This record gives sequence, structure tokens and C-alpha cells, in this order.
Amino acid sequence: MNINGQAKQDMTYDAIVVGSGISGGWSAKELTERGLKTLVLERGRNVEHVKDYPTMNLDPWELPPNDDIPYEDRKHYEKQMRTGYTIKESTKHWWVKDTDQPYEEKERFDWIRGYHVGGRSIMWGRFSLRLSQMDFEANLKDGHGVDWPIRYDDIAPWYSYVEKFAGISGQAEGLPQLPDSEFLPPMELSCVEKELKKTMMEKFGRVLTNPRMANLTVPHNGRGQCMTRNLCSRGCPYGAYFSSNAATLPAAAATGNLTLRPHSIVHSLEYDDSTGKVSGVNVIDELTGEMLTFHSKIVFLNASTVGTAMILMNSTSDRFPNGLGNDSDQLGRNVMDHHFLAGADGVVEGFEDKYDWGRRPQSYCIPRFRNVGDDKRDYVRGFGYQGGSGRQGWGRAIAELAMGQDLKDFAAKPGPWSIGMLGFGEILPYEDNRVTLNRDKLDKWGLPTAVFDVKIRDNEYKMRKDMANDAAEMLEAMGAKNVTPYDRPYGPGLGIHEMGTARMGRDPKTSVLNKWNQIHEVPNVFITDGSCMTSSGCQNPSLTYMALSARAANYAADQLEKGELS
Amino acid sequence: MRKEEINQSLTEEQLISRKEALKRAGLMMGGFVFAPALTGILNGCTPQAGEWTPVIFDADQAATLKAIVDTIFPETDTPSASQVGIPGYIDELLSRNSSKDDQEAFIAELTAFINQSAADLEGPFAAADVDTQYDYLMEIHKTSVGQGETLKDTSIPGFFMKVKWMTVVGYFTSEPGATQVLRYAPIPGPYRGCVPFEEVGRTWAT
Repeated sequence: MNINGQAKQDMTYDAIVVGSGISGGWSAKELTERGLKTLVLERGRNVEHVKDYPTMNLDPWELPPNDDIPYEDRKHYEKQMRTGYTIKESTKHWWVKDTDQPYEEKERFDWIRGYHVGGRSIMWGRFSLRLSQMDFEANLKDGHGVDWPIRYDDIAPWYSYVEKFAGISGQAEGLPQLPDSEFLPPMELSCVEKELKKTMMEKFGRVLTNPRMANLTVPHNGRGQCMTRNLCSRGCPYGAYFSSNAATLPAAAATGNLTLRPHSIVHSLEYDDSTGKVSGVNVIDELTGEMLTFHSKIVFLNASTVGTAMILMNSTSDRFPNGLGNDSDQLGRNVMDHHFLAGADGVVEGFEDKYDWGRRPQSYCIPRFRNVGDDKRDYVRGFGYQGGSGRQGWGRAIAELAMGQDLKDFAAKPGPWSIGMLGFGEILPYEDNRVTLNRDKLDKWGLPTAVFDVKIRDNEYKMRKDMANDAAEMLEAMGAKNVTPYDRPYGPGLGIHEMGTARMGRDPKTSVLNKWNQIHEVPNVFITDGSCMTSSGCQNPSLTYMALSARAANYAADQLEKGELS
Repeated sequence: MRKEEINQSLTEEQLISRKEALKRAGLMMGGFVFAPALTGILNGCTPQAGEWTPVIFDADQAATLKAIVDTIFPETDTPSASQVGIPGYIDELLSRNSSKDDQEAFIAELTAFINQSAADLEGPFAAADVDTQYDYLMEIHKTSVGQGETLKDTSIPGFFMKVKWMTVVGYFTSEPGATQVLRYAPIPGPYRGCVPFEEVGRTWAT
């Protein structure tokens, strides 16, 4: 065998997965467990579970106050800081520097992301909700976007499959609009949350339920249970929440079929006209700048919603001059997120002899109730709430007219209970909410940069009124005082739920992917990150990405076994 | 909320994160809640007890600052503000974690306090006895309490509230403040949503 032949063989795998975040980890696990030699390409550095979580055990006094970064470093994170919580001394190593990773905004768009093994599965919010039949039918029924090519029954077994592995805690409620998961025991509600739950059912017939989250309330599949430190986004020493690093990548590695290659920035996919398939993945080595080409029978794109769309747009050929699989011109369009920052909070009297123990790492959950059943609003779709409660803390001491021992004593007594809720609303798929490439402004690796032109519209603005007013009404109904509704400026992307840039659909003329997440025209390329979403629902999306990834990967493996695709 | 508002140029103060919004919504977990206008000020460093070599303060300014923070939190059966390193904390958060403009504004306000108090007390504030210091600051406090907006204020009451705010935050995020005055659980274990208050006994530090 000649040297070139050997080299090509060394760079050839059964499957290549681009990206190691929440969906790429699942693609890798399933493909390797099905016996496929799989290369995972990750554009950032390696992160090993526990070993590479440098801040996971730091106490407040071991960090700068408010955990903030030095003033002169802020210029590197002007967009990443828009969340207010991402760029902290304890977590800044998980997020990109805007000065290294520039992008352009026609309208404000918050593209908040991290490039390393595990991606945002390390820093995600862990809220885990199923989509429902209502969500899969919504586009068809109200005419926005295109019809999903699947229904709830197609994905339900795969939700169960990924939940049993990942470990989702929560309380079954039997609601059609928010189907139950395979739950581990729920994390408790606080006293005032239980009171609100009672009021909501008695006065409104609405459900408040325990957090539904990928935090383990009991040891599960070799990972430890949550110690309620609420330091999740630093990385968990117990592996008590789901991440690629803690769960899927170790499982993939255990098969012996995984090759993980960090520092591998995918430039483009090579389309082979003679086979009608992708034959290679072009990679820039982040450390050497060298361009390499890897080969495989199938490719899974899990580079994140925007990253995946950018790779496809940069993969041009005679057959696909506008980007791979983009006959429909839908690539990069229909960018969605969840709009939030509208809700209400208030103060609850009468529970001063109670406190809570531990720092519960997620919110209580109020499933969608608007436009459900007979309820009809002047907008379509709906929203759910996430909420929290707690006794007011020592921060009260600042405004208190006291000094000395009096002030210490005051701070040592907690204040009244506060409770609040924050709506997360569906954004419709608008074709002209899009991301495009700027080929005139290249990044430091010579790749085109992203341009965003995305905004929310009348349907979302109308919904936000309910998000604030409904919250206030329910809090007032439980007798809360000082109830304050709010509707604060939201920029698309701030929910960090960006999705929709390569949607699934029934018709190749109006969608990029088919019902198995395959590019209609290029059957050996599968896309199972957020870009595949046909509508957004109002549910946090990661659980759906997990289920679609596992489903598509097993379908791909089945097809390979049948002699298809190769 | 309309489009124009979303597209306006964003200052950090206007941006409230999901987590922050939830925290504010629920004042979660006994943590603290700041008015948004204040978040920019808190850019500091870990309080270090013991020796402090001022970076941005001269000797008079340093002595005055120490006297103010120790009036807010004197030594009792728990440590004083200076014993847990608050003067150094304030110095560092200004010198390392704030803009030059913020540093200079603070120094100007501190200088105004030094001059005004010297005139009022007929001698330096730092040299006054502790009861005089307490009474003097309490009079200032009475004109500023309960008004978060005073923290934007460059008047002496506004300056005092800034110092008090930095002192309180620094103190309760220090190990002695968090563990001796408040209750701190680095590893709480399973969450319990509704326990008798006596089981915890004091405000949670985090």
C-alpha cells in the first residue's frame, strides 16, 4: 500500500460527528455503541470530566466579589456578557472571546457560546421538557412555517430512551401539552411554592410542578446525586447533572470505537457528484493551521444551530452553489429562540418560621396554559413559566438604617419569602429571521463570519403581555404583596436556545432535512442539533435534541447494516 | 416593550440575565439582590485580611476609609470589617476591576467626605472616637437610607451608601462573615424546601 493510501485509510472512519455538545455527544454514543468507528471533531480544547473543572470547588472568598472579571478584560466579552451571568471569574473559560470570534448584527442578536469538548452541555440550564403532539401539529394547524415531518409518537420512545440514560428528575402530571418524562424522584418545592401550586389549581385549574431537570436526585448510571450547591455551570465534581463530558462521551469512549479530536475546526464538507454523497470533511487544525480531510460513510453535523448552518453555507459545489443541501433556500432561515424576561414577582407573608435547605439548582415549572384546550388568545402558541422562591437574604442589610452589631444581627435574620416567575415563550419560524455569511470579513482562520438579522414580532409582543399579567394575577391570587409585573428588553439569542436554521420538513422544496434528520438531497449527512427544529415550542430544547440525535443515529446505523448509505 | 427598546444600545445595567432575573424574581436561596444600577460597581477582588498596601488611596484616604468601614462593622464577638480585609477589598475592586472614571469619582467623593467631616468635627474623622464616628455616620445614613438611587449620587450620603454597600457585600462574602455571622453550607446535600427555621438558625450566606 502506498503512503497516500495508508494516510487516507488512517483518516477514514465509519462515521464523523462534528461537535461534541449535547447533541454531538449523543450522536457519538449511539454510533459507537452500534459498532461504528467514529471520529468526533471538536473545534475547541479538550475538557475531561472533573479534571478540567478548575473552579468547581471554590468558595465565595476564593473568588473576586460578585465573581467578576477584571475591568480590562471586559472588552473581550462585550456580547458574551449580555446575559449578565456568563462571564464570571468562575466560568469565563467556558465562553468564547468576542474579540476572537466576531459576528455582525443587523438587529441585536446574542450569540452566546463556548468552544471546547462538551460545548454548552457543561453550562446549560438543565431544564428538560418534552415537546408534545400539540407542538408537532402547531405549524400545520395555524399555518406558520412548514409541517413537522414527525409527530409525538415518532419521538416519544426516544425521549424515554435518552431520559433513562441522562437522568431527569421531576413529577409526573399527565398533561397533554407537556408530556411526562421517565422521571427520577422530583426535587421538592418550597413552602411558598406549594402554596402557589394550591392556589393555581383551585382558582385557575393550572398546574405548578417540580423542576424538570437533568440533575440527579438519586445516584444514576454511575453518576452521583445532586448536592444542591447550585454551582453546576462550573462543572460538577459528582457528575450530578447531564453533560457530554460526564455521560455520553465516556460511554462512547468505553466502546473502543471513539476517536475524539479537539482543536479541529470544520471548514466545509466535500460533496462527491458521482455518488451524490459527502465524501470528506475538511478540517483546519486550530493549533497548526494545517488543512486536513477526513473521510467517512456518514456525517453527523452537531456543530450547534449557527455553526452547522455556517459549515453548510461554506460547503459550495457546482451542484450546491448556495450551500450544501440548500436547494430550498431555507438554510440559515427561520432562526428561533425563546423570548423571556417577562413575568412578575412578589412577597409572601406568613412563613417566617420556615426556611429551605440547600440551593436547588433549577426553578419550579408552570406548564403552558394559554391557547390550550378552549383557551383562545389574540396570538398563537404559548409560553411556560420557570420560577423561584426564597427568603430575602443579607443584601437587605445595605439599605437598613443600622450599623455595628445591630447590622450584623439584622443580616443574620432572613427576610420574608419572595416568589417570582419568568415566562419562556415560543417564537414563530419567520423565513426572514436569518443568519448569513459575510465572505468579506473572515475570522482568524480565514472562515467567513456570521451576520444575524433576527427580530421578534407582533405575535411575541402580544404574548409578552400575558407573560407579565398572568404571572401577576396568579401571585396576587395567592395573596402575595408588592406584586410587580415586568417586561424587560429581550434580544433574540439571549435565551441561548437558538434553533431552526436547517429545518426538518416533508417537502425538499421548503425544508433542508427529512423526517430522519437527513439532508433531503444528501442522504449520508444527518443534522440533529438545534438547526433541525421546525418550530420552537416553548419548552427548553436540549432534551429534544438528545432524542432526535439518538433516533437519527440508530436509523443511520440501521441503514448502514442494510447496506444503504455506504 | 417595542422594537426600538430592544435595539437601543445596551449597557450592562440594562441586561438582566435569565439567572439574574430568576434570582430577582425569587430572591433565590437567601442570596442578595442589587438594584441594576449597582451591578457595575461590584467588580472587585477577594478581601485579604491583614497587611494592606493601598493602591489608589493615600494615607489619609486609607485611614478614613478604614474608620468608616469599621464603624459599619466594628469588632464584636465577630470580626470587624478591617479584620476581614474590607479596605483592601474596596481598593482592589476600584483599582483592578473598575474604570478609571469610577476610581477617580470615588476618590473625589472620599476627599469631599474627609474635608466636610474635618470641618464638622473640627478634626479628622479617622482620629475621632468611635462614638463620634458612629453618630456622625448615622446622621448621614438617615438622609440616605432606603434610596438605592443614592448610590448613583456623588453627594456625601450617596458616597456613604456606596461604601456601606461594598462593605456589606465584602463582609458577607468573606469567610468570617459567611461562616460566623451567617450560615454557610458548601455541600448542602439533598434539597429540602420547607424546614423549621431553627434548623438553619441564621441567614444563608449563599
